[in-house]
Amino acid sequence: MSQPNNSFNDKLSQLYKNHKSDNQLSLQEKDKLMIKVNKANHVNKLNWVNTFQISLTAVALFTLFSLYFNQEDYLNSTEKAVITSTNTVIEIHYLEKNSYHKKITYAHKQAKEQLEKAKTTLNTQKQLRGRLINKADDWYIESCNKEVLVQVNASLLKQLKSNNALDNSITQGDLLAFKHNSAGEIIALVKTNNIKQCQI
Amino acid sequence: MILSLKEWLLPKKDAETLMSLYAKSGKNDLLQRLIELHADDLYHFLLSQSDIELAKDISQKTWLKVIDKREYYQCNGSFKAWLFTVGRNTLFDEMRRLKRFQLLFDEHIEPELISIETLDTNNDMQIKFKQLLEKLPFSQREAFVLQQEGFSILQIAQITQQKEQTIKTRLRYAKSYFKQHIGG
Repeated sequence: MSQPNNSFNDKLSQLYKNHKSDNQLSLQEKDKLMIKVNKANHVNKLNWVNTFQISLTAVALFTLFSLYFNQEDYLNSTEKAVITSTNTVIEIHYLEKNSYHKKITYAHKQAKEQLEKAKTTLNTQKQLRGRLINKADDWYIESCNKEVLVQVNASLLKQLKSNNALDNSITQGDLLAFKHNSAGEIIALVKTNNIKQCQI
Repeated sequence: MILSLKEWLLPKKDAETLMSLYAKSGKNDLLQRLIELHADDLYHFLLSQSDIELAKDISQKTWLKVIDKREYYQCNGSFKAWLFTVGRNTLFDEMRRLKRFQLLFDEHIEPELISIETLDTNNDMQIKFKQLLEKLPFSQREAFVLQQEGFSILQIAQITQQKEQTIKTRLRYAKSYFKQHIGG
């Protein structure tokens, strides 16, 4: 019983094998399949690689930005320190691609304050400038705007002379500048030849 | 000499090892060797369940799924069984899309009820076998082809998601059908 069955099964298997060999993919179809699948596999692999590269780029960019902003903070903190000091100009010297660069940053607020201070000083200096109109025992100095007349007594002149704070070559008609200490006392008289300074 | 050198350089590996390696590396050459091993088996199985164009299309889609789903491959199973499962599911999805699924899957048809037309007078057994195979109900043809592809009853049951007993019945019907027309 089993022998005819086995023989039938073998016959069926042989028929199936023949049928299978008659219905296979041709070589061209197989090549076509290989190309398509390989391409898809390559894209699939690329997708993975791309994902990895994008992640890596994102991390790198994040790191760069973090470094940049940290640097900025550092510079800002330095700048703050500089601003609190008396300096009004920050010069940054650096090398980039073997080329020397210099970056100058002006601390505007400081500069403004400095300017105001300079203006005040200039005004004061203007006020403290005048022409020696009389040179006797006492000296009489008339301010440039002719509003103030300053009299310098002989005693003070003597003290100034002894302190080497009085120019020996001063003659009548000279333009003089005063130097004061913080208390407003005259500590020196200097001859200035720039006549224009009185015309400002 | 050259052949032995080639074998030494590229030792023969079974499909399971190749697939495990491919799942890890995604290397093209491993995939190519898998295609060389099983492309014809898969195509013939799909062809027996559909037509030439659909079989070619599904065959390609199945290999593309192998690429996409390679991480899901279980190393302890048969690669061929996994491949056929993927292929079968892809074919069924496509048939559902094409609304051809209901026409093909009729569980109630038994060989005795099939109106057996007089086959061509051509005595060529191979042609007769081809015609008989085409006339066989879908589920029986599926079980028969899978058995001829070397799968066990258990594996066929797993691939088709049916009970082993159901598969045995389908195979019995199919064989009896062939016996009736081809003879023992």
